[in-house]
Amino acid sequence: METDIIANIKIIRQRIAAAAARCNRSPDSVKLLAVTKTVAPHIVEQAIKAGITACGENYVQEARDKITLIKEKVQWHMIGYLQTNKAKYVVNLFDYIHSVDRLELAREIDRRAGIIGRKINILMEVNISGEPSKSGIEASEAIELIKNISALENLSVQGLMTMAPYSDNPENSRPYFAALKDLQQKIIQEGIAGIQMNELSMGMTDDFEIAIEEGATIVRIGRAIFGERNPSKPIV
Amino acid sequence: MPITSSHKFILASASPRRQAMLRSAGLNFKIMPPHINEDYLAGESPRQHVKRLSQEKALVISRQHQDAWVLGADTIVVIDGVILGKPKNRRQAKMMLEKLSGREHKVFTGFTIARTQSRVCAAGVVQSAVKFKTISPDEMNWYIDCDEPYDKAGGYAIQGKGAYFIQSIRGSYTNVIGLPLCEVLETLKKLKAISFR
Repeated sequence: METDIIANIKIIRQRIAAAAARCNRSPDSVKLLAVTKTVAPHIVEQAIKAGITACGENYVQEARDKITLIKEKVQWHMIGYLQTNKAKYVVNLFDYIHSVDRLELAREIDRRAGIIGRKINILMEVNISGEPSKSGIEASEAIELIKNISALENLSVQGLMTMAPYSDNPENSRPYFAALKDLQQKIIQEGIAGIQMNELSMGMTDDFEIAIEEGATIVRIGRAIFGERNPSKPIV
Repeated sequence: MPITSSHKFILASASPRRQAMLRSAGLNFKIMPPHINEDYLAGESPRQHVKRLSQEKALVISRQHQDAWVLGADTIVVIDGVILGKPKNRRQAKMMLEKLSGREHKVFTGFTIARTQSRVCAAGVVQSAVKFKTISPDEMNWYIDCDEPYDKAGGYAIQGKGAYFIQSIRGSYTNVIGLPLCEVLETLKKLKAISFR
């Protein structure tokens, strides 16, 4: 099993490098974020030993349990939907929050970060496909939200995040990734003070190569590293 | 009839009570007590604490013995939101009995079953409520004079002389001794770590 993880990470890195090369990008311009939800702590440690430097979690409770158990140093990213009342935990646990999609949440993270004297990197989650079931701010409202967030002094906006709609053909994700890149360019042209707009978190196991071709700087990979999720969730 | 485990089985605990219970169930296992820091983390609830410690214990051993099933556990006694540890001397043992006398308290055990090879780290917490009778001063002195209270969380042993103090229990009895046997075996079976054939 351990050798699987090492081999899987190596293959993913090669695929990232190849996709980057296709569009004349350096492989270092794409960060591999290992999605570790439902992965046991000692298994996450194996991935870190195999060179993973950033891990993504989807649930605050699971992340709280896991992060204290993991002895290896790694950057933690919150990538799942975040309830406002969980902000008090995330400011202690995470280095990046990818799922900021409303002002109320941003304000609460800012307030909590201020209390503990920490500056939190955030990405704004955009519902680029407009599917009603998805979280994320509508693309048409993104600029206004980011202007409001830019005033919050304990948050450091780094870029945008999106999820493409589910499809069995990765090519179908391409227009959504391209649309997020367009939105990034629009935001940059707005010249909003106090924010960075370098990061695009998009693309997962099935479509990360397409995402890289469209400008992704962070790809979120779970299944291709850890295999199919173990359905036996922790019990009791 | 013994219970068979699919791989080597390790109990990551020095507790003789846990060892005896697992043995009585018919499981063959090795004993490897891990050394971990058992301090409380700021803001941790009793439930979170026992769960985390049981995970820490199981993982320490599981990292070293990747093919084995490893069971870790941690038990605490809680009354009025205060956690009672193991009494170090007669004075502490007496203070604990005075707290518990005539009232109900809670016992939490966190347990974790880990196996690195199959990427499993399943954790659970079981809670029981224990009602003590009112303990008279001479009964208290009698109890703290024997060596029973001193290596037990909460300062009493339900399976020993301490049974005299216990009017009733709600929940798992084996949990109060230190390992909720039903829940642990059930989980091991679900994970296909053990079989009864």
